[in-house]
Amino acid sequence: MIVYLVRRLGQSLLALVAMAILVFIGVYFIGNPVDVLINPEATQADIIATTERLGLDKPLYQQFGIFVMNALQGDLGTSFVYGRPALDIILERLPATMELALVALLLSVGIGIPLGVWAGLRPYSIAGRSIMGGSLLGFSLPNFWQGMLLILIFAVILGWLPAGGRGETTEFLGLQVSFLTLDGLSHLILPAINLALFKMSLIIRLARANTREVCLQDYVKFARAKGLSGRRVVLVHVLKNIMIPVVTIIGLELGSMVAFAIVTETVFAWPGMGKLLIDSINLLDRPVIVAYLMLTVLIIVAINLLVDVIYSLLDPRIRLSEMNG
Amino acid sequence: MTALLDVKNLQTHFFTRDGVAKAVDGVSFSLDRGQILGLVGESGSGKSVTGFSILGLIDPPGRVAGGQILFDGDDLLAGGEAIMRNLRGKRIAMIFQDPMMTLNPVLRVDTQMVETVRAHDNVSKAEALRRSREALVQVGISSPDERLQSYPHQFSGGMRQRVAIAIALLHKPDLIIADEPTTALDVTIQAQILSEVQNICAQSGTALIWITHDLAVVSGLADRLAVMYAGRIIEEGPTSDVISNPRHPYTRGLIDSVPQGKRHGAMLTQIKGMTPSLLKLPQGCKFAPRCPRADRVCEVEPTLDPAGPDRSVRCHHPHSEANGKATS
Amino acid sequence: MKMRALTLPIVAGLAAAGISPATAQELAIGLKSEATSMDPQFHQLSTNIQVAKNIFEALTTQDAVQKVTPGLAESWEAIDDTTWRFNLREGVTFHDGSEFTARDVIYSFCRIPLVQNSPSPFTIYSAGIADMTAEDDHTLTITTKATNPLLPTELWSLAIVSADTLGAEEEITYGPDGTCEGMGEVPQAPAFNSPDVAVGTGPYKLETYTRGSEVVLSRFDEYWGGTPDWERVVMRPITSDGPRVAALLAGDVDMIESPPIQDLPRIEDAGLKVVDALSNRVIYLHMQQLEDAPGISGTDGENPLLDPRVREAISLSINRDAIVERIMGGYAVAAGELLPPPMFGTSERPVDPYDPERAKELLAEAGYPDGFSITLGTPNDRYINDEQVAQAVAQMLAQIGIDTRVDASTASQFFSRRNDLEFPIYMAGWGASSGDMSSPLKSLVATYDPDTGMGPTNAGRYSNPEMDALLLEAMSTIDDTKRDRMLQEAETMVLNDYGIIPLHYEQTVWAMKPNLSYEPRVDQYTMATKVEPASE
Repeated sequence: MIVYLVRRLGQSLLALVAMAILVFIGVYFIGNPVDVLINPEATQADIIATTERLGLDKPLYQQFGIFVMNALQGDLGTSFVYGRPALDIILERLPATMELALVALLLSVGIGIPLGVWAGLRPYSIAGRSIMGGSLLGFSLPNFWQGMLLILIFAVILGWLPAGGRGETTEFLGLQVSFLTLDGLSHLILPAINLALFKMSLIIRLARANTREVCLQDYVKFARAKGLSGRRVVLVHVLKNIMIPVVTIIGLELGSMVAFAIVTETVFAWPGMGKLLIDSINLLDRPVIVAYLMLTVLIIVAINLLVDVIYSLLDPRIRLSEMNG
Repeated sequence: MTALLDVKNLQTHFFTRDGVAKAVDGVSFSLDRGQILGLVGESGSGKSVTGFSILGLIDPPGRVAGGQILFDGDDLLAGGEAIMRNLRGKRIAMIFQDPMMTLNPVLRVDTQMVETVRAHDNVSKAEALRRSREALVQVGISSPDERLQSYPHQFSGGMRQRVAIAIALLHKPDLIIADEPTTALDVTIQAQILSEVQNICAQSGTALIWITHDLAVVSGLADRLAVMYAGRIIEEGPTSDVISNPRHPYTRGLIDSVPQGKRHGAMLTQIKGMTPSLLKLPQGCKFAPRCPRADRVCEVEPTLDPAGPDRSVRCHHPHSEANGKATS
Repeated sequence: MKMRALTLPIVAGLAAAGISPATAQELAIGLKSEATSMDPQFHQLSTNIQVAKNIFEALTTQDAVQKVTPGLAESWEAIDDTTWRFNLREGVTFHDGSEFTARDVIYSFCRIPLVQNSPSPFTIYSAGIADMTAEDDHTLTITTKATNPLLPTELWSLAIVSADTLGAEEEITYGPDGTCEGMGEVPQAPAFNSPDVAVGTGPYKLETYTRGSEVVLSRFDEYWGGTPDWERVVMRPITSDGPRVAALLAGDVDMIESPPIQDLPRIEDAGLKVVDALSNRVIYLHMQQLEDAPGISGTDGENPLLDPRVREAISLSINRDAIVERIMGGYAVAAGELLPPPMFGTSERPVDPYDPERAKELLAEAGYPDGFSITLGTPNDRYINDEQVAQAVAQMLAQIGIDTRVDASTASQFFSRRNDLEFPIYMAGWGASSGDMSSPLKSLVATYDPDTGMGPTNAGRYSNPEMDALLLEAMSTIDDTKRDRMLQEAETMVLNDYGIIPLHYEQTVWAMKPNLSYEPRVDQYTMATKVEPASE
């Protein structure tokens, strides 16, 4: 197990380095930040001074070298726009995005799996068919349009929920979270649903397909032949077997949810990392873009590792073969 | 004394888009307590479906379409799912063909045994474990504690099947239905399992229906044989009788097909043709297209008639008592 | 990312019934962009400025039409060409109770060059100050390096912070370009996120600043200008247009800036109020005046834009009224000069007529009877409906035979490419922060000269030495009347030569609940201090 973990960590590090190089090169070739940031009334001298101060007059390889040196000491650059360390700015907004992503994950798993399993057990019933039809909509309707529709219905017409923004926050484990207050929850619901809808549809379809497949397996028939109650057959025998592919997908999707909740955050004015990324791209705040993408790689790699570990816990066949060689 | 199991004119049909497949079409037999019945036939003969029908495990698009299944006097087809669930695993148990697929690969053996115990008896987990351990010992598994902690894929095929048998025995059922339980195993293991099952049934007085396509396997084990073809029983009687004196041409053919050491070097006998598709059954006798003795009379479906004391056969031209001796 | 406008119509009664009036206590405003810091001396970003203006003040104020009026300085006079005396207001206190004196002004000006990491520093305004001395607590003398008639205007941009709160020593001596003494340890921009540091003299105190989320201000009861209207002001950035409008319709905010023009009818149908005003931003076309301009074909390698007749033809071919009506929805005004009259330096020059016939004649005269092909550069997410306007212009040019291809890119790309002289003709906008004509003249059409800092945004490289000389003279003339006349003359020179083609002035729009009133501003800022409960 340790060998396995070490090997995975090594691979992850490689991915991180490759990402850093790609991102750095890519970002540094688009546009000139000084043109965007500086006051239009500034003189040429001001522009030159700012360019020097931001280190943009040096050749690319030198800029990369400086970046790597600093990165090894934990400094991922200073934001052009905010004048503060890029990593700080991103980490400030990380809790908001994580909170949103985790709630969305809970929703999509908590609703998706039961619905998917139900549709798998009774595929030709009205409920089964409507669940599948609904999931198709969740897939195909564009994310921002769904978001706008949610705002329109629940905030503008019905007035039940706020149209955007994050609610009251309280401190929890050293972080500012908003799900512990009623006000916070009311602000969380719509963006979480918006973010969750796509994933939910995915999970429903996956759960249904796997349930159908598993139900046809002999061990399910055998379980029934032993006289087990239908509930036990589904909840223990069927569920545990479909969890393996479902967990894998969930893990992959969680990573992308955290990294790219951009659309939802923009539509709902949610102060998270995704919105920061878009703004930084528009303003050519390169240090923030680079730092953000590297952090994203780290998060996704970590989540994938976690998924693999959980996978081996769920499926004993995997676990033992890894241990034996 | 009433028979333990009395199947009367069972019909199980599958309603597919291409038509109705009558997998079991009028099957009747009975079984006494402690008796072992060998249900023999090729694939497609309806033998497995018969077994599943008894336990009520036929899934759509299939359905039991008619007949009666009297178990200890009660018609199983008239009761509801709750009654069936009560019986399954407790009074009627089933053993499947491929133990790899019948044991859930992600659950530990003890989990799968304990849940069976607690499905029918309200006992503590410790007590259930104890009983499971006992059952494993009963089927000849050494170091049962280790096995309990393991997962199915850590066993060999024979071991897994023993576990399956142990599970079947947990509640000391009155009847065990074994659907080709040794087909997937090596020959040597096969023999072991066969003899163990025989012992167990003899000791506990459990009735057994052994479903197989392999006459040789079941001939030493069963008290009675019933041969099925295209959803019907075509011959039935005490084992030794049927083996030494097969009346139906099909049964004859089956016995003759078994390779025997004495005829080493000679051509193997075959039954020509193939089993018909259940969707396109011929009119009249279903075996006629392949039968060397068929003629115009066979265009009418024969009925299952007595052919001696305690024998029946479904044929217009059965082999007679005298020349029915199998070539040896 | 441009968001589509809401797609379902809002029934007036339904929505109006759901809107509750703003309470007399709290005002919530939905902003178009986010403030990057609470330090008023850190970044010249319009959002930072308009948030800071509620907390901090300056020596002077610009009113709704950018006219300079007294702020923390009651009065001032130019003693000579480079010396000014300012009489500071008495009885003013900072939010933490300390008294406002000349020492605070000196400290504030000294701090500006010491602010680190600024992407757009305020030094462009403070660098011109040579010396500053306080005669007493409320009298201040400022000496400039060169004659600067715009000093009072520029002082509006320089916020006054509290010397004591930021840890200065008793005695502060001014030195130019960051050489002041007695500054102590100067707190940097991040420190201002705390209300204890962001202490000013303005009508509202900083209560909380949640980065990315909102700024909450609370009333400063001892404000020298009288009790402010609102107990609490919440300023929330909602950068996406659609959600911002939705927030207003849902009642989450009381007022928003820059609703998309397409949404205005719906907003009014919902019973909300729309307020608009002419802004100081002109949208213009700039044409390259270098011999080897890229992106032109069909002219045998010549640059047709060097000929003033061609430039005039371009201006005459554009139907400005059509653009205003159909693309800007009526929320713009056709422009005849670089600032809307009656701002300082404008001459009320009439808008060029729409005359495609005459334009074709001019082209033929200049030797291009069959026209030519050209590329028009434009941003697509910077100005109101910028890409659509450029497309319209392209079509109009095609009418007179100039085959135009529109090259639209996102703002960050556009500016870089423009400054690299990639476009033969481009469309852009200019907002005069000083509110007077010297701003566009200096930046857009003065000859490009990095050494003197003239023409930094003159990417067409237009050069008119006569105009340059006149402009320089105007910029060092203190007398307002004389200066006004000189600027008018300079502008007329450029426009007669078609050195730049103004298209239209943008209008700024705000939408708010019907029980509020706001005096719209030319500089496009949204000032919470100027939002008032409407009279009954």
